[in-house]
Amino acid sequence: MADSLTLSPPKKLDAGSVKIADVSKTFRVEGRTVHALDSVSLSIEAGEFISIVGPSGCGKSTLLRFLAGLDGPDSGRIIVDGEAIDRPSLRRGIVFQDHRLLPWFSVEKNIGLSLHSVSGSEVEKRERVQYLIDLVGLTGFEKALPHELSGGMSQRAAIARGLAPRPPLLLLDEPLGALDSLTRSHLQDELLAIWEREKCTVVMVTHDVEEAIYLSDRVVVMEPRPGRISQIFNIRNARPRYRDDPEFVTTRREITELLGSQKKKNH
Amino acid sequence: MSDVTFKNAVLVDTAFDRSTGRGWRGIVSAPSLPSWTGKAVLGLVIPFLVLALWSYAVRQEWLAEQILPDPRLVYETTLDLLITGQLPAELAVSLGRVASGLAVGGGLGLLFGLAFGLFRPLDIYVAPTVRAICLVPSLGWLPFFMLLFGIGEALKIILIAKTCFLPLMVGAYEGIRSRPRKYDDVARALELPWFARVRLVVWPSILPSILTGVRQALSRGWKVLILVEMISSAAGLGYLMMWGRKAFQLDVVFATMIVIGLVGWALDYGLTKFQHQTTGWSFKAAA
Repeated sequence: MADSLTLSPPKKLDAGSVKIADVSKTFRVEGRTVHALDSVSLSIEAGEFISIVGPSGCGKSTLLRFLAGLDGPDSGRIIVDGEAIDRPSLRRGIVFQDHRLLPWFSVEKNIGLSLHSVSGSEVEKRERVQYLIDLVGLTGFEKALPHELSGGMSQRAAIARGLAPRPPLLLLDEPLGALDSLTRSHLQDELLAIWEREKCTVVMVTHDVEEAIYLSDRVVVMEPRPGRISQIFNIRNARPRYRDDPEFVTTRREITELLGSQKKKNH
Repeated sequence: MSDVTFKNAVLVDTAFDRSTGRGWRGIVSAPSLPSWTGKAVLGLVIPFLVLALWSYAVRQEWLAEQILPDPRLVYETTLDLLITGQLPAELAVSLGRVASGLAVGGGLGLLFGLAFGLFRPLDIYVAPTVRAICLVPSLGWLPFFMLLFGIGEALKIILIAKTCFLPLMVGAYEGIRSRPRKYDDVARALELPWFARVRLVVWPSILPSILTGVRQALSRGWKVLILVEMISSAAGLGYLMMWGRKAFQLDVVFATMIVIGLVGWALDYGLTKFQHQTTGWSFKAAA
């Protein structure tokens, strides 16, 4: 039932494609100019799972904020499904690292908030919220306030909030970064399952190379000063993936070595 | 396939939470604080000790009877004042005054605080003057106000309003200035329209600070009210106390003091409860 809730315009099957063309951004920090992004270009196909890894200062979070439409580049264009981004939209869901659930609202209300501007009846919306609460495993915690939840549970609620309006594109800014490793690997499997079920495009920023390889179709490695893409790795292994698989290990070493060489270059 | 994954994940996750004592279950089932009655009993220990000391002092005649009346006499006087209806009547007058003063002054303070918090030019040009005016104590304004408004009802309401103005102005202002900006990104990403943004995201985040302002306004307003009633009034708790002093009936003075203290405490306690009910999250959430 809740599955029938759609945003207008209705979701197309091939929605969620992204074209980033020559995007640059500079910041002024303490009188110095920092090139956060230097003509970055990247094409993402609808339904892809893309991870962006790189050291802090490589502009990966900046790029994600541009994709969300929260900030804009100095030059270059970002086009999602043929339309240039100029402001945030419910068609591009974002999950922040610090979950950002409103502390005065229950889990239920926090998730429901993302349907505030979506057309549809209250009943439909309530069903959609309950469906998502069940989906991320928070059944029984509908009325709980964020401070009553653990870090992992809060992040599940935040993911549910991001998913509620059925965005063709889901943006994840280190969504599991603050969690302990046990909770983290469980949520990775949940993310994969959600992605397979919702068939949305996912762009995830992460620090964790293994997480990126475990989840993604492609891993984009970025480098800092100026922020740009240094290499893109295609991960072809079938899912579910095993972290001790020889190919997995090789790719992880390649990426780690690439990140290590960047560090040497910059210090 | 994926359903199985979720269920396992949930089991492990909540089990983990319980073992670290965090999460929903941990908080609900943590009865480490004394129960409501327990707390009430503990709160009464010191008043009873004071009462015992008072009785002892009277019995030993440490002070003249006219200065320190017998607690039993104070008790009887209080009962008397209650039965004749004088005390409830004076209390009603006082409460009415403090309510109107709080409504007028607090309301204006809230508006000014919000305006100063939201509009930088107002904050720069107007706020220093307003703050300076507020920092002259209410009693300092009294002579001027008496000449201007007379000694009628208006004077009392205006003085209480003046007292209630500053705490709410500061509360609203601080609420706006220190509100967490990170939720603005959420409001934008969720495409909330302007009004929904104010109502659902901005207002709840400044409400704790405003309610703290209300509590301060009420307790300050209550104290100023009694003073004003003592200086110029023909009704109210302050008047009753003044009348007791003039008639050298210290038992009436003591009865009034106790009522003023108890009512003031009850008002603050009630508001604190209300604050915990409406903005309880702000006492627990690590912003």
